[in-house]
Amino acid sequence: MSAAPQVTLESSDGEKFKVDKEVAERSVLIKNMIEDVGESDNPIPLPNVNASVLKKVLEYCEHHRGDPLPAADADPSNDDNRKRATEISDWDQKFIQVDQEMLFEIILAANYMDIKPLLDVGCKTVANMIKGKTPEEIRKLFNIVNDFTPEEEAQIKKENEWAEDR
Amino acid sequence: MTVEDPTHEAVSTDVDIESDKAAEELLDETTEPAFIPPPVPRALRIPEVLLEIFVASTDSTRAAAARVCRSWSTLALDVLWRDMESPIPLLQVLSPLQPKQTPEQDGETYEDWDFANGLFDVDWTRFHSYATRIRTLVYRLNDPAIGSKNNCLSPRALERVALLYPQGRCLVPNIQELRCHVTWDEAVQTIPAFVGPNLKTLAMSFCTGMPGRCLKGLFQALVSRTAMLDHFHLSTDCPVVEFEGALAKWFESTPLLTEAELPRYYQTEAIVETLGRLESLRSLATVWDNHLPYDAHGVHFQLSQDSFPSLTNLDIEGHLDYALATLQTSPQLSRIKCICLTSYRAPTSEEVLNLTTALALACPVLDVVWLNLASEDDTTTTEPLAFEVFRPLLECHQVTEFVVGHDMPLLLEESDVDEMAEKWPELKVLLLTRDPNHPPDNLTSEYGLDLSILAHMAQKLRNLTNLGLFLDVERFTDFEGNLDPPHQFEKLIVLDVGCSPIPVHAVSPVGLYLGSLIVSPDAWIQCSMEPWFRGTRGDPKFTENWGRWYNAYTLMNMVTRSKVVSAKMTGMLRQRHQIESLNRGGSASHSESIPTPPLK
Repeated sequence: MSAAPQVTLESSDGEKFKVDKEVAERSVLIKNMIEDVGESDNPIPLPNVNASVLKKVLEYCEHHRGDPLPAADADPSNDDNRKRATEISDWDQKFIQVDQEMLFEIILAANYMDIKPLLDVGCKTVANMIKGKTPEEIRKLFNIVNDFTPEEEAQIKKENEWAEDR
Repeated sequence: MTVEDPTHEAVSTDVDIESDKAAEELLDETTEPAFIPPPVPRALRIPEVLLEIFVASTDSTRAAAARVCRSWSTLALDVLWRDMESPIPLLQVLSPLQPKQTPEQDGETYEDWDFANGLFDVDWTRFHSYATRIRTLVYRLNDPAIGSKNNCLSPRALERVALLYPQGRCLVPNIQELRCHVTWDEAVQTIPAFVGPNLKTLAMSFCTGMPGRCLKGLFQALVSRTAMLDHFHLSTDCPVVEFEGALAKWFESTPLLTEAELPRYYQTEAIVETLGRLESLRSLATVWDNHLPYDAHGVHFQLSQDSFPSLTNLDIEGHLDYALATLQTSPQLSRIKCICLTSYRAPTSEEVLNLTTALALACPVLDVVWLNLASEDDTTTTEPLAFEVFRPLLECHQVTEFVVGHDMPLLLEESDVDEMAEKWPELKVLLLTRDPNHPPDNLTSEYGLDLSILAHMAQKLRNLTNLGLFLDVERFTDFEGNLDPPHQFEKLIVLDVGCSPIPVHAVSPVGLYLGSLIVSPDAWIQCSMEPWFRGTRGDPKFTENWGRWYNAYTLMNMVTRSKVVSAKMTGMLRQRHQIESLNRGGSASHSESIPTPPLK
């Protein structure tokens, strides 16, 4: 009985992960690399992802290996995509319960490896984190420096007041 | 232009903040020198990631994010202002709006909102930065941005802005989708203010009695301004003759139109001829949501030799002879995949047979077939049709949807189902009557199908997702102790059933049986709350019949719903109801638990 085709991924800190090709190809980046280079036994280097993050990302890909692939031309600012609910499935919810640092590492990796559904889960989680917070609370949460003058901030507030209770 | 804040003035004169960097350094010096603030997470410095976060946020979160810092602001506002449910927030960037007059229309008063101040000294740059962000916009009466009362944006306010806006006559230059519901004459002329050069979708609906001259003026003004239009939807009860010329002329300036949805009776010679020359038009559909008076003379659908080169979806309405003539003489119909045909009067069986024969010949690749064969405009009694008259359509092997809109349900034998399964292997939607939930007055049990045909359909038509039919359970005797149907619908999502009065002993078994036919936990049974038994409210016989049906219906959906919770529940429910039903002598109905029947 022949096993499913496998590929090896190498994290930035040199750790190698052997996974099913189907699992690795949840990442559009890897899928394209395999298509370009053809199948080989050489490990695929991922210089922007360290082992602990890659392990987590692969856990996600493994669980979602059978899911239908999202449309390639999905534009995040496009209408249909905009109206997506902010809900996250139970498994994903559990999966993404990590500390803030890991959360942003996963988002970075999902963005770099082009795994749209994982990027979505991460971004929805951040959206939930900032929901109901004031601008000052958001700045504190992420160490962001306010580069607005009070007048500028007041003007933006006034012009967008219509959105405040929605 | 900004008003100076005295408190801030005091702060900013003390220390001269040149740049944000300077501010940061200053901050570092004043706080503990050894403390290096943790950096902003790297992910939050990637615009695509921020955009994704704002897309997943609510409007209020986007509004807060817009004030966090400059880089967040641009992206958050892009997302927040992209789809607008009202033009009012945009106008309020210029100056506050307030109710001014109360014009009366159709005996109702409306608050007419206009600018509180003049527009002499306004910041057009800020206005422009918001205006260019808008991609979709809704323009209507009772604008949610100004409360729940009858209200409207003053057409004069809009006219003034359009006149003064330095960037041109369209207030939203990058708009792609405009939906308007306009109810008063004056406002019609303001619609072009929201029509930009990249508009792809234009959907307009107008109130009852909108004068033809207003629509004529509108379409004259829109000529050559919608060259990129892809989708057009019009809903009005204004007879087409009042502005046919202007509408046809405007269509000539929409070369990329692929979908047109027009009101009933709008398929006139002039309109059809102009649309027929549009090379991209794929779909010509009818809008059913308005109530134009019957005007068969206005309709004249005919396809000439080279017209409609791309058409694949077509709604034809009119007399059946028109449709027949069109089908028999139009070679380009061979590409039609989706047809909806509406007859103005109920045809005889022979006429239907002629029609389906012509249809099968003219459109061999038909995928969706909707035949509305008994128009509501027709008051003569209709004859039931046999499956025989639709048999020619079996030659179109790609059919996935077959819908017969006829008052009298189509009678099906098991052998018909077998044939359908063989010839239409991909059949997904099967509706055998106009609306199972509103049976016609003269319907009797003999026109209902036997419950057993459902299991047969489940076995043979394996791809069905929607099924609508009438059932006769009046003659129901017993399942001989077996409530499990021998076959289930694997993919069915909607089962739409009308039903005869239900004998008291059949309530539980029928409910359980119907519920058990369905596998998918997402499926829903829609069921007529108006059984064939006619009666009036208060009549105990009516209440009893209605109550029985209601109980059976509740049971069906309980069985279906319970699959969401767990498959085990189904068995438990079934057992429980079998026991209950035995204890009560076969009845599950309780007159106290019966909700008030609907008024007929």
